[in-house]
Parts: sequence; structure tokens; C-alpha cells
Amino acid sequence: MGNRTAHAPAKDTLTLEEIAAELAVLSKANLVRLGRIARRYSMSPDDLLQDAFESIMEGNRHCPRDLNVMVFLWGTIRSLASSQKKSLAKLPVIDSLTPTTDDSDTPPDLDCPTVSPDAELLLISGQDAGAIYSALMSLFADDENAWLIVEGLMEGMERRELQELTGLGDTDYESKRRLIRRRINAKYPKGWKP
Amino acid sequence: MKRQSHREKLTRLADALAEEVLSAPDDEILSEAEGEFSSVQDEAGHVLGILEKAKQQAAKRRLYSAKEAIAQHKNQTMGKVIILDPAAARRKLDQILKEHPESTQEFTLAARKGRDLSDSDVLSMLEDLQELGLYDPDTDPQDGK
Repeated sequence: MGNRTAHAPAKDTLTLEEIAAELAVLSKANLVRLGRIARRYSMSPDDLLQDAFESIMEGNRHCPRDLNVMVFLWGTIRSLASSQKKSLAKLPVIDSLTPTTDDSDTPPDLDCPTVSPDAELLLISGQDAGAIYSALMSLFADDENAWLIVEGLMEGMERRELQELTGLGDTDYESKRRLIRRRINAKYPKGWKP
Repeated sequence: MKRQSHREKLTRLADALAEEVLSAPDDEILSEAEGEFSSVQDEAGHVLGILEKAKQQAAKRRLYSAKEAIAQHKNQTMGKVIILDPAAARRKLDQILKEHPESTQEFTLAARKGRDLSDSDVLSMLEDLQELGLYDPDTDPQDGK
């Protein structure tokens, strides 16, 4: 993970120069980590990653000195993904604009506020969340413990609770977590795209 | 409601996976990536490319902001352009010097009397007076006419 540079300004957050220096020396493993993390938060991981980097380098996000830079980057990615979702949640649902399949001449509800094409794309992505969830769970249909762990993680359960639930010891639990991670990465190498 | 709940679930799973990716040792991350991508180097290079692009965009924006700030600063400090016909400018200069004799002592006697001054000298002196806060072209009905 990222090592700190030796600069020691009085302030408790890294300066732009310091954070730029940290980003410039990200290791190969850390670059791969960032790609992985972004893919789990967005349908457009490259855009999300770029937004995160830009936001940091424009000085809109500040990294506390006592925080690991990789954790800071994760937090930035997560926060941007979350704010994207929040802003999308404020947009009108576009179901009413979807063309009907019964060949009727009924026009769509034109009183519905306009949704930009980009937002529309993302909004549809949001609607796919249920489908992604189902497909994801079916990946573990053959492995009850893995299924329970994934469902438990989605419910916000802690490791101890999950180990109790599955009866797995430390080694077996960690091995199962690796299996889960690998299956998900293999199924969704470019983000949550079906 | 259902949709939001699935989104939340995916976010919680993403959090758990991200924590795991951050805590896993480098060799584990790299060996897993070897199985997923045709080249780990390419994958790292891809993310590095995004980082470089972001750096350029951020630098451009900072430059643009700096340019705007300079322009704004110039507007604030350089004052308004004075547009007066030469005769009106001389009248205005004379009037200000009369109204503020103490504040304009540093101006030469010739200047105060308006003799031997070119039109450009007169405008230049009005600009100086503007900087001193003794003349405001915005409140001068003759300015720009």
C-alpha cells in the first residue's frame, strides 16, 4: 500500500503536491486493487475512477495524514458512487417513458420531466440491481456456505457472525471469502455489467 | 423500495470486497489478477492511464481557474477604462484637483493647472486619481459619452 512521503507541513491533511506524489508511486498491485474496487461500485468503473482521481487532484478531497492513501482512495470512490446514486434517486423513474409493447397509440406521459441520456443509462443500471443480485446469488447456488456468507455480507453481518452462522473456522472462512471474491471477479470483470 | 434494497445490498457487498482487496497481500492480488486479465501489466497500465488522464484534466481545470482568478483580480485592481473626450477630461481633472487640494499635492503645479499636458497625460492622471479613489468613472455622467 502507499507509503507516505517525508514532507511534514503543519496541516493535518496532505497537500496537493504530496497526494500527487503518492499517486505517482502507486504500485502495480495497488493499481490493480483500485481497478477492482471501482468495478464493485459502478457500472462505469473507469469513469468513477477518473472522477475520483480528478476530485482529489483538484483539491476537492483531502487525505488526512494519519490515513492510508489506499483507504482514502477507496473512501473517495465509495463516496462518489454514493453521491451518484443519491442524485439519481432524485430523478424521476423513467418507466412511464418506456415504449409500450401493445402497439397502442397511447403516447408516453409527456408531463414527466426530461431525463438526460446519461442519467437515463445510469438509472436503468439502478433498475438492474435486482437482476444483478439474483445472478450474483446464483453463482453460489452450489455452495451453501458461500451463499450464506454473500447474503450475510449484503446484510452487513460481521465476520464473527458469519463464522458462527456457517460454522467455519478461520482458515476455511478465509478460503471461502477468496472463492467468493474470485467468482465475482470472474463473472463481473468490468463492473456490474450483466 | 425493492430496487433500493438491492442497491444497498450490492453496496454492502462492494464494501466487504473492497476491504478484502485492500487487506490481501500484494502477491495474492497479483496472482488473482493473472487469472483474470490477459496481462496484469496491461491492467495496471489501464488504471495508470486513467490516473494520467485525470491528472491532465485536473491540471487544465486548475489552470483555467487560475486564469479566471487573474482576470478577476485585474478587473478589480486596474479600475475601469476611462473614456472621456479631451476637453471633458481636462475639465474633470481640474475639478478633482480643486475639490481635493490636499490629496493631490504630489501632482505638479503644471498638472494642477492643466498646462502642457497631452491628452494622454490627462487621462493617465485621471487613472491615477481613480486608483486613489478620488475619481469614479461609473459615477461620471460624461464618461463614455
